[in-house]
Amino acid sequence: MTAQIRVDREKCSGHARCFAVDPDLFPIDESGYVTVRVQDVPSGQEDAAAAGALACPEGAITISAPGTSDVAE
Amino acid sequence: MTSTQSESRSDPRAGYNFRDTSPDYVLDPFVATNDLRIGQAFWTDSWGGFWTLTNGKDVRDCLQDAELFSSSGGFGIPAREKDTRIIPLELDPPEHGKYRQALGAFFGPKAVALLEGPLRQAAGGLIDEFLPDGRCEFISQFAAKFPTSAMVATLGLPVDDTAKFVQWNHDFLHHHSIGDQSEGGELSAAQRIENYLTEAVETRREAPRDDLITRLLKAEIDGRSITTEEAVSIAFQLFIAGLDTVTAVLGRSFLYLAQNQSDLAQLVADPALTTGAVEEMLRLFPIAIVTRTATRDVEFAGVSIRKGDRVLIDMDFWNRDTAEFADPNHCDFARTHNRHITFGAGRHRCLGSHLARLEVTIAMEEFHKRIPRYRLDEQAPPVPYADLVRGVNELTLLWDTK
Repeated sequence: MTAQIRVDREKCSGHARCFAVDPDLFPIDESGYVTVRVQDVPSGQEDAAAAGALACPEGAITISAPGTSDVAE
Repeated sequence: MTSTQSESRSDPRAGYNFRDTSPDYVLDPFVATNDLRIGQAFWTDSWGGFWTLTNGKDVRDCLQDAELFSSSGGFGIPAREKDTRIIPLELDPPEHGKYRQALGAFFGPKAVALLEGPLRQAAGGLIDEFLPDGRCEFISQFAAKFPTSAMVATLGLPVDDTAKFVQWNHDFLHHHSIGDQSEGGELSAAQRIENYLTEAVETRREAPRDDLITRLLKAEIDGRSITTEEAVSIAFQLFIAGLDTVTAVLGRSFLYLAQNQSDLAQLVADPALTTGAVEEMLRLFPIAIVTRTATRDVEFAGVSIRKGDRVLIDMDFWNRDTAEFADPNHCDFARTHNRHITFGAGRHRCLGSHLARLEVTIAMEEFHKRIPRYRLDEQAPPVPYADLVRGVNELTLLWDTK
């Protein structure tokens, strides 16, 4: 199964640190809040997705795949 | 430092004197908090009484829970005496969000990126003025002026008034609490800033211009336009939050680099490290302390916090927590995992964080391009200060001229 980016939009506070890691995986709105809610991680971009999740000061991003444990918070 | 001050700081039961004036403390208030990392919160009786959270996770949890820890109790320790609230600093959700939404796009990463050219030019211009001298008083000649020119450009205020803003802002923030009343009948700095901004807002209401204040006046809150009082309050907060804080970050960063020549040499040799260096300076020197008020009795951070208790949040407790950072007191420009919360966390995350990052990055790049080696002046040692903001008042730097 494909890994997924999951963003807790309640927690996102517009730091845009995920955007700084990878602007394509983590697009933002005009104020800096990530616009992704749930999105498949494209093949080969697992590391960038994980780095983006780990860059979030709020711990708002998780990378998950069914059958595997979540990384980040 | 006297032994009494040393003991009082290492024993949390005696409280957190974040206004300690001993030379060792003001030089590095960030290392001093290491003694206070006892895991649970502790109480200090001074300035009306307050809790200090000492565990990184508690610090972030508190900032993320605006329902339990309110901002409407007034900013500062002790809480600011107030007849009006500073918008959006002293608002809670959902009210807070309405104003943040109106402001967000002005300070988002994309809007801020458009300022890079003008800011780079402003920074370069300031440095070129003192470059031939082989010395500068970094704070008054650069660190205080540069963020002010950025704010003046953002708000659309006249460049000629920059010196006046620097002075008012300094007078205002170097009081112990925000909102000091005038003494001896003279207008306080806060009143001067407010009067100036009221006039700026009224002028733009009559004759719109192409600037932030004008666009702010078009914003709608609950389906009605923003009032003059609200616009002044917002401009006031942008003014006080955007100037002294960046000055403090610049002061602490350049003080660190002048004191740590090998780090400076590494950065100058590889300018691509600047992005990492900016993040590391921000992590190591979280210059602002913020406050909240508990909205109900709660067991939190290992203690019983009562409704109405004031809580002090020093981001340093997260930024140097070993649970979050490997070797947290070590400066590492190549640190890959660095999700510090110097800009706060939760709904009140610093609105200007993207602008601040850009300003500090540009300042380092433009300075180091022209002055790759600099050192402290032994005849004029740095004069740091520590309160709710922890910056530097005087920082004389020397370099060799050709």
